[in-house]
Amino acid sequence: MAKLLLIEDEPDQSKMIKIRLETRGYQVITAHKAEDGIKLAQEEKPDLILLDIMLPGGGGEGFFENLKKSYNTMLIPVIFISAKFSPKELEEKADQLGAEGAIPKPFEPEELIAKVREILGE
Amino acid sequence: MRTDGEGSGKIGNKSKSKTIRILLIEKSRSFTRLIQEMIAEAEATSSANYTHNLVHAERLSTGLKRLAKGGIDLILLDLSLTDSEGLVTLNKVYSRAPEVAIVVLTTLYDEDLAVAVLQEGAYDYLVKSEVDSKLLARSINYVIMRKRMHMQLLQNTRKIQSHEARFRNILDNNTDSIVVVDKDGIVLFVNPAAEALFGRKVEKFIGELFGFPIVAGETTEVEIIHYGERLKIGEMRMAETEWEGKPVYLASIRDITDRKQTEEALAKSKAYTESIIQNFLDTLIVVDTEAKIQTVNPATCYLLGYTEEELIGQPISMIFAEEEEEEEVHRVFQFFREPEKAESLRPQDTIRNCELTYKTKDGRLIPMSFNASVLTDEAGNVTEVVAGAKDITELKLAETEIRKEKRFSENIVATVPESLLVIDKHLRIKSANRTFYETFQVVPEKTIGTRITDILGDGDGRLSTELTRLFGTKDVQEKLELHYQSENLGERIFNVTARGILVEEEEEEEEELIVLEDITKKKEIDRMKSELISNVSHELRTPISIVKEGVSLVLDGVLGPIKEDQKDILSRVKNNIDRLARLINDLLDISKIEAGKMVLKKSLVDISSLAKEILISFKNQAEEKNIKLITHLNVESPDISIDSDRISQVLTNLISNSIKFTTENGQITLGVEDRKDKIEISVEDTGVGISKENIPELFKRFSQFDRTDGPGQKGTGLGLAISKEIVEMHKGKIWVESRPGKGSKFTFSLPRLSQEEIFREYLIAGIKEAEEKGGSLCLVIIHIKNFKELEKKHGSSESLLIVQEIEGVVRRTLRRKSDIVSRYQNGDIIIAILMDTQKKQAPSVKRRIKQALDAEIRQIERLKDVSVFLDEVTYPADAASEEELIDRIKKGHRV
Repeated sequence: MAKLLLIEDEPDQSKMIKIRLETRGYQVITAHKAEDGIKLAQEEKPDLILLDIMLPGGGGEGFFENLKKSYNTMLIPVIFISAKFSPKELEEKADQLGAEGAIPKPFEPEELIAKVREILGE
Repeated sequence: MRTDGEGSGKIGNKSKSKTIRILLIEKSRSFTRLIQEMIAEAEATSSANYTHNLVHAERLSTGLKRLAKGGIDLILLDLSLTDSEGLVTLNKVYSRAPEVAIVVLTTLYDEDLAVAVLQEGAYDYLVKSEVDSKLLARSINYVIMRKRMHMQLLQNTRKIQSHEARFRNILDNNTDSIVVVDKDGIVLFVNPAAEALFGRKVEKFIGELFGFPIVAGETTEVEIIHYGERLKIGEMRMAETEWEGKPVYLASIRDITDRKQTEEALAKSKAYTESIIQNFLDTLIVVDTEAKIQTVNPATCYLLGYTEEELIGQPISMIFAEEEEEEEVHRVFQFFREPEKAESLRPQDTIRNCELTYKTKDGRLIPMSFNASVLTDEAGNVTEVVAGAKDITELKLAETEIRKEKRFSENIVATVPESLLVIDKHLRIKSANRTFYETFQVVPEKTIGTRITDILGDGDGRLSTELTRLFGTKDVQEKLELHYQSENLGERIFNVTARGILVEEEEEEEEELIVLEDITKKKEIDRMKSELISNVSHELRTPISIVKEGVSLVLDGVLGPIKEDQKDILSRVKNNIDRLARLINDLLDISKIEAGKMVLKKSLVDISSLAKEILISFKNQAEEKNIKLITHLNVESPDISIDSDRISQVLTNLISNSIKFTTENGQITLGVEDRKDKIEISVEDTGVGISKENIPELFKRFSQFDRTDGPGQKGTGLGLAISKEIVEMHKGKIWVESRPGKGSKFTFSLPRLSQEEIFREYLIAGIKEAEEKGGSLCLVIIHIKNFKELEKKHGSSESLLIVQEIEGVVRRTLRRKSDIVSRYQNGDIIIAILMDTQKKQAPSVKRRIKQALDAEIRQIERLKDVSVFLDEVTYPADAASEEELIDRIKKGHRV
C-alpha cells in the first residue's frame, strides 16, 4: 500500500483529494504548509508527493527545491497540482523544474488516479 | 747770353713776352758759337719775337737726357752726330719728344732729305751754310708759332673728343633709347637702351634704315616691334645735332609701354566701376564734405522714389528716418546730421552692416543694411563719404519667420513628455530638453559633454553598442529597454528610441537623436494585467475544483450509495460545473488575447496528422448521433510552423460545433488542402446551417443563436471569437460558407512561412525571452559542408530526407523541450536554439551534438557522405541583435 504525501493549503480541496485517494487504497498524509511538508517528507518517506505548486508565499517551488536538494527526499517522485496555470503551462513547468508529473485543477477524478498509478508504476 | 754744356742763360735783357728754350744738338763747337751769335744778333735787332735760352748738347744721348728733363721748346738738330747719323737721329729725337718742335740743320742741301725730314716730323730744314741770324730767327719764330697752333689744335681736338666721350657716356647710360641717324635716316649710333627697346643688337642696327619718320622738334608716339616680345609703345623726340662733325638727327625714345598699359587699365577700371555703380542693385550715395549728396546711382532713385535732381545737392540726412537717439552716435552719422559741427572724419571711420531705416519720398520706411567709407586725397584730407545700403526687408521677414519656427520647435522640444537628447559619435551629450533634466534630476553643466552611458548606465554594454552602430546610418533602433536605477528615482524602465541623423555638410558632425520614454508605469500596468489574469484564473479555478471534486465524490458513491434521482441531479450539477470551468477558460483566453498576453509557442507540426487526431477524438460523440467522419488530406508536405495547442483548440472548437449542429445521420468532413503559400483546413458538416444575417456576427463574442437543446456540451459563445483570434495571430484567415438547412463549411488558412521566416520567429522569441529574463541564448549551428554535392549526387528529395535525418538526430540529442531545432534557409544549415543557456554551456552541447552526428553518419547508410561543421554563437555575448546573430550564422557558412 503506497504512502502518499499531499501538500495542499486549501483545506476543502485537501480533504476531498484525501478521501478520493483513500478510497482507492492509498495511505494519505497531508500538510498545509511547506515547512510541515519538508518535515513530513523526511520523516514519513512517502512513495509519492502531490504538491500544490502555488502554495501561498511562493512556498511551493521553494519546497520543491529543498526536496530535490536533500539526499533522503530527492528521489521521491512529485506531481504538481495547480489551479493557476493552464494544463500546458503546468506541464511545462513540471518539465522545466524536473517534477515527474502534473495535474491541473479542476481535474477529473480519474485523471488524478491514473496519473498517480502511472508514476508509481502500477 | 750765357751758354755752357748743359746750362742755360738769358740772352739780352730786352723785355720780351716769352722766353723760349732751345736745345742745340750739334757736334761742331764752332757752329754752336755761330748759332749763339746769330741768336744774340737776332734778339738785338728784334727780328726775334722772343728771348732765347740756349742749351747745347754735343751728342744725341746727352741731348735726349736733357730732353727728358723737360722744358725745351725747340730743338735745333744736326743729323750728323757722333752717336747718330742721318734721319734716324731725327726719329729718335721725335719719338722721345713729339711735342717739341724740331728744326733740322744740315751741311748740304738735299731735296729728298728735306722732304723726308719734314715728313718725319721736323718743322723746318736749314742748311748751315746759308743760315744767318735773320733766317734763323724767322725760322724759330715760325716753328714756335706753328708748334703752338698745332698744340692748340691738338688740345681742341682732345677737348672735342673728350666731350664726345662724355656725350657718348651719357648716351650709353641713358635709360631712354638714343638713336642717331644721318640725314638719310641711316642709323649711326644706338645706345644700349635702344638695343633693349628694339630688341636688336647694335650690329644689326648700325647702317640700317631707322624706319621712323624724322620730324625734328616734335614728340610723337611710335609703335615699336620688339623682336622677341609683344609690341612696345615709345615716346620719341627728335633733335638736330652734330655727330662726329656731321649733321645728324638724334632720336630720344622713352618706353611708355607700361604707362600706356596702366592708362588703359585705369580707363577700363574706371569704366568698370562706372558700370558697377550704375548697375548696382543696392543704393550708392556719394556725399561731399558738407554732407550733401554729390552722386547717386539709379538704384537709389528707384528705391527712394526721388529723381536724381531731387537728390543731388540735398543733405543726406533727408533720406534717413527719424531714429531714436543713441548715446554713442558714430562720427559719420554726426557728420551727416551736422556737417559743420561734426569732428573731422578719418579714413578709419568706416561703418559696416549697420541696420537703420531709409525714408522714401512718400514716407515709407525701409529697413536697410548700411555701409559707409571715408575717402581722402593723397594729403589725407577727406574728399567724400561713400554710403552703400541694401534693402533688407525680405531678410527681416525671413528672420522673423525663422525665429518663430525656432520658438515653435523649441516649445515642442521643451514640452514633450519624453526626454530628448542629441549625442555625438563619442556618445557625448550635445544637448538635452527640459524633460530630461527634470526626469533625471541633473543640471546642464553636469550633462553636456558627458557620455550618455555615464548618466544612464550601459546595460552590459548593449546601449553603447547599439548607439554606436547607428552612426552614419538612417537606422532607427527602437524598443531598447533601459533599466535605470538611482537614489532619487529608484528603479525606472525606459524605452530608448535612437535615430542616426545624417549630415548634409562635410563639416557637420554626425549626431544621433535619443528619445527616452518612461514606461515604468506602463510596464507595471502590464505586469499587473498579467498577474490579474493568472490570479483570477487561480482564484476561480480553485473553488470550482473543490466543488467538482466534492460532487464527484458523492456521485461516484465513494461516500456511500446514492439513489437514482440523486445521481441524476448531481450529474446535472457536475455538467454545469464543467460548463463553468470551460467558460472561465474561454474568458481567460479572451482576456489574454486582449491584453496581448497570448503568446504563440510555435513548432513544426504535421497539420494533417494533428487535424486527424482531433477529429478521431470526437469519434464517440459522433457515433452517438450516427454522424459519419470523413477526411480529405491533400497535402504533400504537411509540416507547418504553428502553435499546436492553440490550433488544436481551433479544430476542437470547429468540430464540436459541427457535431452540435448536425442532426442524426449527418456527415462531417475534415479537409486539409495545400495552397502553395498556405494550407487550408476545413470542417464541413451537413447540419442546420447558418442564415445569412447571422454570418457577420458569427465570430463576435457571445454570439449564440439557433440554440437547441441537444447532446453535446453547451457552448460558451466565445469559441469562434477565440478561434478567429488564434487563426489571425498565425496571420491566417477564417471564414464560413453556409446554407440554412444544407450545412456549413468553416475554413481557416495558415500561411506557410519560409524556412527563414520560421527561423527568425524562433530567434526573435528566443531573444525576447532572454531579454525579459536577463539571460542569454545560445545557437549551435550545424553546417552541412557538402550540401551542394549531395544535392547533385542524390537529388533534391533525397537530400531533403538527409536534412530531416540530421534534424532528428539533433533534436534527439537535446534534452529540454524548450530547445528548438530549425532549418535556416536551404537546409544546408541547421540550427539548435538553446533557450536560457549561458555561453559557457554551449561548447558541451555542441560537442554532444557532434558526437551524436558522427555516430549516426557512420552508422546510417543514407548519411555516409555527409560532412558537417559545427559552430556556436551566443546572444548577447557574441552578437547583440537578431541581425548580428544571422550574420554570424551566414559567416560561419563561408568558413
